[in-house]
Amino acid sequence: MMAEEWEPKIVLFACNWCSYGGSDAAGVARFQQPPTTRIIRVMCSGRIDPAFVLEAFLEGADGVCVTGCHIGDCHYINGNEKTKVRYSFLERVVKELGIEPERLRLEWISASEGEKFANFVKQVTEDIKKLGPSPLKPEGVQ
Amino acid sequence: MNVGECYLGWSTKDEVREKGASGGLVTSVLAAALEKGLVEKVLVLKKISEYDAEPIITDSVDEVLESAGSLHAVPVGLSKKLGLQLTRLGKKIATVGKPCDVRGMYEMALRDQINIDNTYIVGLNCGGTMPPILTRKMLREVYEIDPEEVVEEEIAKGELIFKTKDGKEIAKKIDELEEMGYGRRENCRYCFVKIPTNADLACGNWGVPKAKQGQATFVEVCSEKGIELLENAVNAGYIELESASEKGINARKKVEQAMIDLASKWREELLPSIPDEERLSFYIKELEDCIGCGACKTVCPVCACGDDSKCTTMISELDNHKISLYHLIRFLHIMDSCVACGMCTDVCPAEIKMSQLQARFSLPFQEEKEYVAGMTLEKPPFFEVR
Amino acid sequence: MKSVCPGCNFGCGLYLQPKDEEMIALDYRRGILEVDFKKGSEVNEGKLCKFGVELPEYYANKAVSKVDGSEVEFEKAVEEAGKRLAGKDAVFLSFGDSTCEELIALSKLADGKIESGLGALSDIDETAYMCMAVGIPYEDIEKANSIVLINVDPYAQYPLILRRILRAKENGCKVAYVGWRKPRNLADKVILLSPSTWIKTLAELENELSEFLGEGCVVISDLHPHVHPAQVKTALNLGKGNVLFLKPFANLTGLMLLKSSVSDDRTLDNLISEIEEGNVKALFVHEADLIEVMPDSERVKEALQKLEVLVVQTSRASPITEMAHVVIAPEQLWEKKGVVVNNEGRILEVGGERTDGFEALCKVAEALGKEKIEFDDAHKQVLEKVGVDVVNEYTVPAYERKEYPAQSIEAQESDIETALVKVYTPFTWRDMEGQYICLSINTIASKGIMKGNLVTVGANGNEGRYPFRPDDVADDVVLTFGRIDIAKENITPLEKIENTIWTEEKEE
Ligand SMILES: Cc1cc2nc3c(=O)[nH]c(=O)nc-3n(C[C@H](O)[C@H](O)[C@H](O)COP(=O)(O)OP(=O)(O)OC[C@H]3O[C@@H](n4cnc5c(N)ncnc54)[C@H](O)[C@@H]3O)c2cc1C
Ligand code: SF4
Ligand code: SF4
Ligand code: SF4
Ligand code: SF4
Ligand code: FES
Repeated sequence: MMAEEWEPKIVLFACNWCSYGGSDAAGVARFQQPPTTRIIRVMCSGRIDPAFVLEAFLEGADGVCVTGCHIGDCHYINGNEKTKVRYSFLERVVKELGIEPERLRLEWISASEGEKFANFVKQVTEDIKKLGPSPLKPEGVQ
Repeated sequence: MNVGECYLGWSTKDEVREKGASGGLVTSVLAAALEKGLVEKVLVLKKISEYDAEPIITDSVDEVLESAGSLHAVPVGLSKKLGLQLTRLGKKIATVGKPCDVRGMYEMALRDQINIDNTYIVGLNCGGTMPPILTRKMLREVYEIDPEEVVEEEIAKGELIFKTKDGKEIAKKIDELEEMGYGRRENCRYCFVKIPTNADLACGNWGVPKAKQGQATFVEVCSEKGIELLENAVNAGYIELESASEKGINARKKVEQAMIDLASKWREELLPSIPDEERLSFYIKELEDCIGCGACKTVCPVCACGDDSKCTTMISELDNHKISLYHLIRFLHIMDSCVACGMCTDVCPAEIKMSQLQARFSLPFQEEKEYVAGMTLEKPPFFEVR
Repeated sequence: MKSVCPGCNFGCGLYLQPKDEEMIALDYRRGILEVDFKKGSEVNEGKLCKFGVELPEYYANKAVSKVDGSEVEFEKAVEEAGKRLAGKDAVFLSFGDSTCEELIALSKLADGKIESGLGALSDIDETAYMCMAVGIPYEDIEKANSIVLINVDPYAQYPLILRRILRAKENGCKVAYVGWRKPRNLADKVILLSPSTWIKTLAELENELSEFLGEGCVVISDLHPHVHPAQVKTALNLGKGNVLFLKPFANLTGLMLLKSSVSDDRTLDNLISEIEEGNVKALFVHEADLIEVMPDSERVKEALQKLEVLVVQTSRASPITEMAHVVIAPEQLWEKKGVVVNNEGRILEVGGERTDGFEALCKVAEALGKEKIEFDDAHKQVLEKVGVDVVNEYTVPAYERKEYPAQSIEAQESDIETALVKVYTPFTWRDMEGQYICLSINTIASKGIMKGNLVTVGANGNEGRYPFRPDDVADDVVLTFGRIDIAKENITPLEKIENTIWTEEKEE
């Protein structure tokens, strides 16, 4: 088998109302984007427990993205503001653990921002490719 | 009497004043609160030996009176003990507490574990506690005395003094002992809350004039409940008070500041920064011996989740993660509220310095959020948005 | 109140406090007791393993006194036990899960013949008995030059020994491990056992580990009714007296001290065979459960049904209390007055006040026309046996160790290709271990087993499906700490290891 270029695995959490719509819009409009992401749809970014993100890393994700509606647009009053608080905790944990900050990302993407979504995925993929596989990947996981 | 005032006080009972660490005031205030019905129960330590004591919640005045005296080699966590008790059912309890205990109580109150209104807290100044078994070893190997022979220990002028049954008195410099690996627990060395002003009363021997050393307790009134406690004890004839002198008040402040400066030094020494690229392997190595017993969570005053918590239910024996998710969740959950009490380190069967690891996350984060855990009933950062 | 953890023979100290009635309802932590950590305990410095931390849950499970399946008063059960055992030549079984005083009362009842289940060790030279019964003090481990772990994986089995080994390592000690699962990064040298050659490997260890043996070497092994004699002999041979056997029952050391020998004891397997054959018709089980401790629980249940009389005195509800003709349910260990002796020979007060269990044994003995003993006399006998005047938790009494000759080990080999190996932890004995298997990364990869799937394993014509975890075991080993129904022995040859296909599962 020919040695293929390494492709990272990125777990992307998307809220049902905005960022998941954004990913849909990116697909419908056929914006080019790498096949590196595994999207997990949640009803609101506020549902994304920091533990999910940490678990994704421990299971072997090379990067994790948290996405949701723009501040003020959350469909559950202020779910994304809570996400912001939690994200500040997550950032500190990831940083203190010595995991490269590029592996954890937060982005607000609306349902109409298909291009933004595609570019975001492209950018994250490129950044992580430069870093190589995550140091937290368990033995035996690709 | 007003909040913010400082007094010197002592027990009117000779044996309590004698047995008490300073003036036996703490014990007498607690006993008076119980006897006069201010509270239904009291949380104190029941001494087993110089190195061992059991925290008890008692309604016996005698048991309270027996608790007089400071046990510097008994690092017991009192907040969790209190949290599992009855203040939430409307029962009133009075308790002693070192600063970390009191801070733990506040964090527990924020999590609805304790009803602070029903809790009377007599705080003790704290220079640090020592691990009991290590202290016994130190006595054998450095002091060259049988730990069983010790009748009294004392900290004075940076020295740790032990007195034996046959009247011997041996003093050694704490700095030197700590360089040898003995002395106070590591977290105590960089603990920077030395006077528990968040308690109802803050008691200690700092600020007691030389002539009254060992005969009086310095007490700062920190709340209305504090006034209630003191007045009750005076009225019940348990204690006598006189105003503290300006000189004493300043002396106390000076020692406190010196201790805080020392703590900063220890923090640098015990929590040295690690280069970015080495940190992950540092944490993996530090945590590699964890056996998942859950003791560190059980004792943590900041954790109020009980048996069905995320950190314990989201992990599985089947995982082969490089770090346990249990720890990552805990680092994150406790980050804004860890009071650095060191209980988690004390109980770890794998000798993992959990408190010291947690501090690497907590201390900078609490600084960033400008929050000192356990000092007020303000919401901690995690609950910034409601 | 001061207490000793009943989870194994380590002797960890802790404080227990019964919770107020209203607190039990309110508390987010389960159980009727609250644990406080006893940091002044020399044994464990307040540290506990999962068992100790979760002790309130363990103690929440209480047995009730029964006669023929119906609940009765405690006294009635005791009386009935006396009646039913009268005239029967009963066997008395105990693994030492109670106080020494109770064991003395039991010994009176059993005419000095308590079966311990340790029959496999009966041919080991009597001069080595003391070294099997009582180990070296834990503190000496910290001072060792080298440590050899024989089938003791501290992480899974006896976690409280880990910190002693870690401290020893800080002092420059080298560690060798021989056993079924690599203990993380603890050992400098690891010899993983293989089911076909493991006894041979043990027999030849002296050469393999030559750099670890000699002056200042401490050998740590475990000892329980299922231990293979080859393992114990190996530990004795390598340790030359400097050995520590870790035991899974709260006072197995005490039992061994009181017994002075196990040379007349049966193995559990033999005991069950004799029940099957009708040679044993009456059995008195003291604080133990034969059903839980045997790999093949079905066989045990069938055998026990053949008994004319099965009396169980235990404070913990378990499968055997469902079957017994008479269940005597006394106070739990923490409530008992009396002492236990831990692995290192330290004598520890249990901390309670009650003697119901003791009295029950005395009453049954009286009913059978045997000599009665007062509690204080029993206590005195214990002190005499241990050789101390008072109970002092801070000192380890001195025990007389004799030199013993090297024990010969028959270096058998077998043609087992792959086997399911059961490793015993303090949890295993109470059937509290998780039901999963450990597989090597190679096995997982070669069988195409996916994370989250169940693995089908087959033995003796039976099949079972179990969750798995990747682990550091040999490729021909499937390891389990818990009960796996298809296993009939401690090492069960396997016919099949396969990834379970999920679609199949869904169709069912
Ligand atoms: C570990 C420790 C360190 C201290 N360090 C300082 C210091 O550096 N500077 C200073 O000014 N004062 C310090 N104190 C406080 C001081 O020793 C006296 O406790 C205080 O002055 C009150 O004296 P008293 O005679 O009124 O108390 P007492 O009447 O003797 O009452 C003492 C109370 O403290 C409780 N207690 C004893 N040991 C502990 C313990 N380990 N943890 C929690 N509660 C305990 C007892 O149950 C009792 O209720 C310290 C106290 C402790 C326990
Ligand atoms: S953590 Fe601070 S308050 Fe607590 S025992 Fe140590 S020095 Fe005292
Ligand atoms: S994490 Fe440890 S040091 Fe921090 S509050 Fe909890 S028990 Fe205390
Ligand atoms: S106390 Fe130690 S061994 Fe137990 S879970 Fe915490 S870190 Fe792990
Ligand atoms: S090691 Fe044994 S005695 Fe200690 S806590 Fe665990 S089960 Fe209990
Ligand atoms: S619904 Fe999109 S963030 Fe809340």
